[in-house]
Order: sequence, then C-alpha cells, then structure tokens
Amino acid sequence: MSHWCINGNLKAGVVLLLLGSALIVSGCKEDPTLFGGCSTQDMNACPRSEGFENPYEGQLELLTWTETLRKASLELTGKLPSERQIQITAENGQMGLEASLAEMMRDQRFYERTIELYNDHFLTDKYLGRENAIELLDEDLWPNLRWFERKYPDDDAKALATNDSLAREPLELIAHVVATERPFTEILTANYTMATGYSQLSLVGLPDIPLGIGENPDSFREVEIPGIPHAGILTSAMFLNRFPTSDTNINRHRSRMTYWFFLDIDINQFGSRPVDASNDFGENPTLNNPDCTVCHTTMDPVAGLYMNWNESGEYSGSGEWFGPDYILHPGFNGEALPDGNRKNALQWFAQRLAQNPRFAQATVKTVFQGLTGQKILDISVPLTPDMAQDALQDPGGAGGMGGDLGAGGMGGDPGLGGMGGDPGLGGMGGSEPMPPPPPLPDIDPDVDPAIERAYTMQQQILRTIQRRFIDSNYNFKLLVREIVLSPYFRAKNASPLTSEMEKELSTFGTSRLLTPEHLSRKIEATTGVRWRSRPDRTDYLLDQYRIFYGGIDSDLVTQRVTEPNGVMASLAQRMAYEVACSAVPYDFSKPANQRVLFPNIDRNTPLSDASDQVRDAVRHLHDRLLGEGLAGTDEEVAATMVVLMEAYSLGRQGLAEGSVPEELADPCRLFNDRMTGESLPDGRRINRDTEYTLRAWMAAVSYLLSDYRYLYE
Amino acid sequence: MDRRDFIRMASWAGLTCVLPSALDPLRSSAQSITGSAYTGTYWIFMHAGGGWDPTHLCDPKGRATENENNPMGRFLKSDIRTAGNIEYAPLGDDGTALDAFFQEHYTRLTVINGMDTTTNGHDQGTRGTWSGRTAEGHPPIGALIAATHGPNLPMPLIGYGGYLDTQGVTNAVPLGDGGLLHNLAHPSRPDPTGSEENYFGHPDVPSIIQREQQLRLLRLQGKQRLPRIWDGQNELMLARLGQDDLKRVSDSLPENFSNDRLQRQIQVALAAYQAGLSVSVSVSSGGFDTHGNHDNNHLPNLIDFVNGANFAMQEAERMGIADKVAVVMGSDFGRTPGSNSGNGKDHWPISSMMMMGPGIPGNRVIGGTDDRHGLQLIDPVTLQPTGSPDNAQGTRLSIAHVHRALRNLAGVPNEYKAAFPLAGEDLPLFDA
Repeated sequence: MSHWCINGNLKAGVVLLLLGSALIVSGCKEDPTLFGGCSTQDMNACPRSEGFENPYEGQLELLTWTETLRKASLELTGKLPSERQIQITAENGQMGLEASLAEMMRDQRFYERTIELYNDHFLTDKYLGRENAIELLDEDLWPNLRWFERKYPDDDAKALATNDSLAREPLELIAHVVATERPFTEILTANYTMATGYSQLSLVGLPDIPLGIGENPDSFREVEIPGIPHAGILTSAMFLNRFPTSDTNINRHRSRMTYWFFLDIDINQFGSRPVDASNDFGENPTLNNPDCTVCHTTMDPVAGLYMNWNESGEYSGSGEWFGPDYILHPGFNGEALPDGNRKNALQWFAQRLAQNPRFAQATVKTVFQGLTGQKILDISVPLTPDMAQDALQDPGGAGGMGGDLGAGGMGGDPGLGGMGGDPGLGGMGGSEPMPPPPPLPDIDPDVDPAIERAYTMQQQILRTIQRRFIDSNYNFKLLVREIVLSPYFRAKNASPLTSEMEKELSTFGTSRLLTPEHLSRKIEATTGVRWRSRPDRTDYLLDQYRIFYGGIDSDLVTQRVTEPNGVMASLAQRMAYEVACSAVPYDFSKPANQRVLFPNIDRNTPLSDASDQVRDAVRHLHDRLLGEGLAGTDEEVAATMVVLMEAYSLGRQGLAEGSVPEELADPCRLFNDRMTGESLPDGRRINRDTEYTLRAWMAAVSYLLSDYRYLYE
Repeated sequence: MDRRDFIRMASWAGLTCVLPSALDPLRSSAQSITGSAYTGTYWIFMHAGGGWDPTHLCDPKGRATENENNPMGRFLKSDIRTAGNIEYAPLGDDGTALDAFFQEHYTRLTVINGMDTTTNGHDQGTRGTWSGRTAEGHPPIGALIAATHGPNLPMPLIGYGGYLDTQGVTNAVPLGDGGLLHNLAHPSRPDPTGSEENYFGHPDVPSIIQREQQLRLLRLQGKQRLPRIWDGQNELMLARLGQDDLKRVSDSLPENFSNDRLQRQIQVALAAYQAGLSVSVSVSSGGFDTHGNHDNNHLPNLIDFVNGANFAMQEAERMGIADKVAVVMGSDFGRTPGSNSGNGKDHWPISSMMMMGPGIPGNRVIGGTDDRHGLQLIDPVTLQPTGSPDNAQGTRLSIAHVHRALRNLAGVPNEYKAAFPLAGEDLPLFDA
C-alpha cells in the first residue's frame, strides 16, 4: 500500500496538469497514527490494551504470549515472527506482543490478508483476470477505459494490470483505510475511489491527452472523479456489479446486502413467514400486502437510496425515483431522504450508516469470524422488522450480538479485565461516566443454561472489543489487536471438565482448518519453499487445488468448506509429500546458517535413535513446523523418531537389496533454485540419496507437515 | 490405511476411537467407524439456480392464439407436447428440444406441479425446495439421505452447488470435476496414472507416516478437553479414514470427460457411486433468474439443464447402474405469469419438481395449476387438482409434502425426522 504524493512525483503531476480538472488526487497526509511509532524497538510509543483476564482462570488454558505471537503472525501476515519479536514478547509478555502486532500490521501481507478477509464477503475478486472488470464498464461513459490498446497495443500485461486495478478498487479502499489508520467508517464515507496508475487512466475521460502511468504505477492512490458523489464501497462499480439490480428488483438486493454487510441485519429472516400463493396479491404487493411488506418496509427505503446507480454501477445523477404510490420513500432508520440530497443519496446514507452502532457490531463480527474461523454463538430469538428497527435506534434490544457499545461499554466487570476507557486511545476515555450496559437481546427460552452462560460470556467479551473499537475512533488495527488478545483467539486447552462446563466452554478454542491461502503462506513461511510446479507458476493451493481444499473462486463457489473430507485429507497428504520432497534437499543444499529446517545437522549425518544430534534436529522440526517447544524426552519427539528411523531402516535395507533406487524421485532432485529457478552450482545439486538419509528426513517432515497442528491453527 | 487397519492399529496401541462429542449427539449416533461400499439408490439432486419457469417445462401453458394479450408463453397451446400422461413445453427452434428427455424417460418420471414454495426469496426458496422448509435450520434432503445410508463413507454427499447447509449431519464434499482426482487418489506417487514409484522409493514408507499420523492425532485428542478443538481433531481423523478410498473413484472415472461442467460433475459423482463411496450428489446450474429478456435467456438454460438430467441417465445406463439412480430436479420457485415491461419474469411462489428413480412411479403428474399458473388444491388421495382455494376443497400441495414423501422413500429414520420436523401430513406421492 502506498499513499501517493502529488508533490513527490513530478511526472505524474504533469499528467495531472494535462488532465486539467478531470480528477483530483489526494496530497500527502502524514498525520500521526495510533500505531505509527509503535514497534519492538520503541514499546513506549505503543498504545496499551487493557487486555482480557482469563474468564475461567484455573480451568481454561490460554496460549502463552509467544505462542499467541506465532499464531497471530501466521494469521495476519502468513509469516513466522522475527527473532526480535519472539525475544521481546518472551521478555515483556503482552506488551511485547502488542508491539510485535503493531509491526505485523504495517506489513504489506497484513493488508493482503485484510483484503482476503473482506473478499470472502464482497466477492469482488470475481472480476480479477482477463478483462472481467473492464467489460463491466461502459466505454461511452469511460472513453479512456481501454487506454492501453492505444498506448501499449501488444502489451497484455498492461491490460491485465488495468483490469485487476479496477477489480480490486473496493478491497483496496479497505486496505487503504486500514493502512492509514483512518476511522474504518471511511470505507463507507470516502469521497474518493482507489486507483493505480493504470486504472486511473481508464477512469479519466479525455482520450486525446498524452498518456502516462507515472512512477509506481502499481500502487493505489486516492482518486476523486469530479461529478461523482463517492460514498466508499457503496458507490464502487465492482461492488454494485457484484450485487446487481434490475428493472424489477430496483436495488432491493443491494439494500439487503447493505443491511447484512454493514448492519448485521438479515432481512431474509423476516421473510421466513410464508407467502400465501392463493392470496390476491393486489396492485402493489410490496407496498400493501403484509406477506411482502414484512421485508419491503425495511428494505425499500434503502433500495431507493441507490437510485442514481444503474445495474452496471454507473452514476446517472438524475436523482429520480418512483413515487410513493409505487414504493416507499428513500430513507434510512425512519429518516426520509431530503430532496436536496437526492443526487448524493448514498453519501447522505453513508454518513448515517457509518455512525450507527450496528456498523461497529457488523465489523467486529466480520473480523472476529475472519480471524478465528469461528461463528459467533447466536441463541437470540429471530429478528423481526420491529426488532430490527429498534436495533438501529437502540441496538441493545435486538438480535445477534446486538449490544449498543457506542452508548456504553461494559464498565467494570472484573471477570473480564479492566473494562474502563483507555485514555491513550482518545474517544470516550475513562473520564466520562459509563451508562449501564444495554441488555442482551431476548434469547431462545429452551436453550441449555450452560450454553446460555457461554453465550453471555461471548457477548460480553465481544461487546468489550466493540466498545474499544469505537473508542479508538474505529481504528481497525486496534480491533484486530483486541481480537488477538481475547481468550477466544488464545484458548488452547482446559483442565478436566464436567459435561456442564464442556458446554459452557464450547465457544473457546480456535480449531480452524487453514484455508488454501493460509496453508499456502504457511508452507513458504515454515519450509522455505512454495508448493508449486516451478517458480514461474502459481502455488497449487491458489490455483488447481483451491476449490478441492475448500476455497472459493468468488464466482460459482462462494462458501468455504471448513470441515475436511477425504478429498481434502488426501490433498493435505499429497502436499506433505511433495513439499517435503522439495524442501528437504533444498534446505540441505544450503550453508548451515541459511537453513530453516536443518540448521544443526548435515545430510550425510548417519541417523541413529541414540544420536542427540538427530534428536535435536527432530526437536527443531517440531518447533519450526508446529510451534512445539519439546524436550528431547517428549513422547512426540520419540514418535517422530519412529517415523524417521523406520523409514531409514526400510530404505537402507532396500538399497542393500537393490529394490530402492539411489536416485531421488524426479520431482525431488535439485538442479535449480526452488524459489528463483536459477541453475545451482554443482556443489548444491542433489539427485542421489545413497544412504537414504534424505528420504528418511522427507518422511519425518511429511509426517509433521500433515499433522493436525500444521493443517489447523 | 483403511478403516479396518486403523481400528486394528488403534486397538494394538491401546487407544480408543471416540466419535463426535455429546455436543452433537445426532451426528455421533449416525457415525460409526466400520463401513462397506454403498450399493443402494444413488440420488442426484439438480438445482436450477434462480427460479425456473415450469410453464415452459413440465407445466406448460402457452397462448391460445398468436395475438393473445400478455400470454403465458411464446408457444401455442396446441403445440404443447406429450409423453404418455406428461405434458411438456415445445422448446427449441422446432419445438423438440425437450423430446430427448421426456420421450426417453416419461415411463419413469413423476412430475409434481402446483407446488407451493410459499416464498419469493431466493435463499428461502432454495432451502425450501431442498430441505422442505424455507426457514433456516434443516439440512438438504441429500444430506439426510447421505447421513442415513453412508455416515462413514468418505464422500456421502458430493456437493457441487445448490443448497448445501448440511447442519452437521454429514459433510458436503466438493469433488472437483476432472482428472486431478487421480493425484489425490494416489498422493504418494509423483505420476499417479503412470509409474507406481512413490516419493520415498520404498512402497511401505507412506504407510508408516500415515500410521503415526493417526496415532499422534489420538494422543492429541486424549489430552484435549476443549470441545471445539477436540471436534476439529476428530474431523481430521475421520476425513483421513476415507482418503484411500479415492483410489476407487479414480479407477471408476471415465477416460473421456464431457465438455459440459454440469455433465462432468455428474460423471465424477457416478464414478464415486460406482466405487461405493457416495450416496448423493447436489449439482446446480445458474442463469434462471431472468427478470429481463426471459425467453432468450431462460429457455436455453432450461434445455441444457434437462439435457443434463438426460445425460445422467445415459451415463448410468452406460455404467450399468441405471436402475439404481434417482434424479430429482427443482428450483428456488417459479416465475410470474406473463412478462414484465422488460420481457422478463419475476418471482412466483408456485413451482414444480420432476423426479425419477427406484420407488418413484413413472408416467405420472401430481397436482396442477390454472391457466395463469395459479395455485390449485389437490385431492389428498388421488393427488389430482380440485380447483382454486377460493372455491374448492382439498390440500395445498407444499414442499413439505414432497419432502415427507422423499424422506419416507429414502428410508430416512425417525431420529432425523424428529430432529428436522416438517409441516403437514404424509401424502401418497409415490404410491403406485
């Protein structure tokens, strides 16, 4: 993520000058940010979290701070933590972890992870590739759309870069808001769109001017298109195309998704009431028939706010909508859109949407589920239109996690750690009196009391996170930090439990099968190789095996598979074999101080059950691959030794008998650098395994790569 | 390692296989760790995503004259085609596009018309059509049948699309639609369709790894007391037990795959069934939500969809399992009578389903609608329409009725029926 500076790029500035007033690019804003100065080098500059006490101290076992660090680092960046982060966290506990998290959240990989998390909802990555995004736009409105055809007629890469920049615009807005630590509400209220040097040219409507993509054309920057009343994601062409409308749908789908994404209200729940097909639906059932108005009373006013945006996501600016005899007047939360705002209705809406406490609630829910892979327990009674209306005005009384955290907070529940305000974060701070927390929504009366206690605890902690998020002026990084610090992210085991307590603790402990994207990053982070056919190819888990392993394509497959099946287990097995085959010879070929898997042993070292050196090498693999710090006498080290030594014994016997070849299998042979593809010098080339040590280590590494603790986090 | 080997190994090691926790008693009661190949009925559920138009399929209406105002369809009533007792729409340039399916299969086909989905919402309609209830909380019928007959199979329900919220009774497995299955069937072999050499050069090394993997997982489980994590470990253990079975699917795959995605998926699913590993599959085809330009957009998709069902039966014939295969077709809901201002059709709660297979009578039409595709009640004994709810007596044919009958036909046990109850009463939909 790069914040583009108008004064820092003369060439681009000239282009802008030539464009006259066709677009406005933001200047540099280097406002200090909450986490800006925070690092493991300067922990004093870090905003402190009050953290969370263990709500079941003595029963619930949490990850240590360094274990939390590893898990968070893999989750947020797909990397292992640095040595310094490990050291600082080991020495300073939570404070060290917080400083490390601040560093991680400045890593480009964190923004990519944020994009991935939100794409699971918005699914706009459907338009990546080929000209999928370009084809959605009308060249009559965007005459410079295919600028690359004139400037670079034979350069497919420019066309692809332009397309993907256009496709990524809504998700890059989120990344931009996160990176700059602006209030997360800006994803709705931003009066600009995001573009790269490529897509910026497409969005400029002057085809005859000299073209230039400027320096750093791949970086996204804020672009304001005059005449377009931007309202963040709401006016994103990609978002509007992904959730389209039609002549008869008239933006109702967009309205429904807006409620769902940004207010955590599922209008569909209202419609569980059956439609009576034998009824006379009348002249205008969505306005008059109770079977229809049950949803439409909530849905249609917001649908009207999209009045200026057609099915292709293009702005008409007409401010025209149907009359009250056909559909309810545009508005939101009981407030009618003023006539003076008809042409910028979504901007009017975005301001109200962003400030509604349900927006914070929806954001907490999205990010919590994204980072933990865990659905929030919901035993509240189904939401009705009246309850939804109450929720928008007084969210404490409605369904879902429903608390009005903007109005209060959890003030002083000693079981959850300090709940007062954090003066360091600004906002409400601790000096203002806290109103009493709003009540939890009504719950299903038949639910087991132990489950109800689990629900209450989860709601309290989530409400605390939500309040801290609001108090920080919607700082997304703070929200992520609080979730990582919460016991839901950190719970790893418990003392022996009664069946009642099993239920009460049923929401604790993430046991998340890694997504294809997560697993792909983890492979590289831990083994030093990527799982792919060759360096110029995409990783298997992001390409041919993505759907097999439960991933999405944002188009036909939009729901992730979260429980493994036989196919996925086989895929994980193949991954383990192939990655071990790739990584083991590669790692051994390097100088010892550059190895990640075998820094303390050479490939020619004879393997023996009695060898401390071999046992230490196994311990290192457990630490590196699984995050397990084990003693040499641990039974898990012994089990891995069994794999290593049994394979070694069988292999050597086969070598002696001639039934096992000395040559490695083709894919395991090493002639070129696995990462760069460059030819390796003879001294690093490996194609034989005359003592069967390489393949024995491959067996041990395969065993660990297909382990529960590798495949899950 | 197969299940039997695993149980033996765990027993040698003094470990106990424990299946899902008390928090999920329904599933735990359905799971067992012994198993054998499934040879019962194979259920193919085909979802037309977006809401299909039965008036251009199996409940054809058409127009009385060329000049009729706001007609129900582009074809004349006099051109409606028949196969035995079943009427169907004359689609395609010469009106015969659906002949291949109806003429070939009407003797096995039951058509249910005038089914009241009670909804105009896509999600509710899809849930309703495949679970029998529009509200959330019920698994699709394919999942119930899979959980009933193949709880320990590696891919009891293959899920390519449609409604797949299984509510935990079983897993929906996305099996892919092509040759990559070979790679997964033989994960230790660099060249799964060629040499039998594995990455280790010794045939027994992979089995050492797999044995120790499962033992390690059992050790981790033995120390784990948080139900969420314990369940996650259990999921992986059960998933691993099925991975070797993929070899049998790989062996059953056809050499030549269809070029059509839907048809390829059906080919893979049938191979999985032939290998004894699967009970049901859910496939989906989109493009039916035609609020604009209905005829040009909707009808070709309808033809392709029905051809997909025809292909499924042809493949089953080729594989010698046609008498074991059931095909059930449905959609979110129907589409409004006549056209809107954009020549499209909007959402309409009255729909149809078509089905055939073991236990399903052929050459039969249940229920019906009036000339404008309006609801008609049915006689609960004869299942024939009695007239409009305004002036006739009878039963309103609901999706719950259809699912009650499907559950009975498929032998879904009372345990599941009680856990996921359906409204209404049993109707003799499949009595011959």
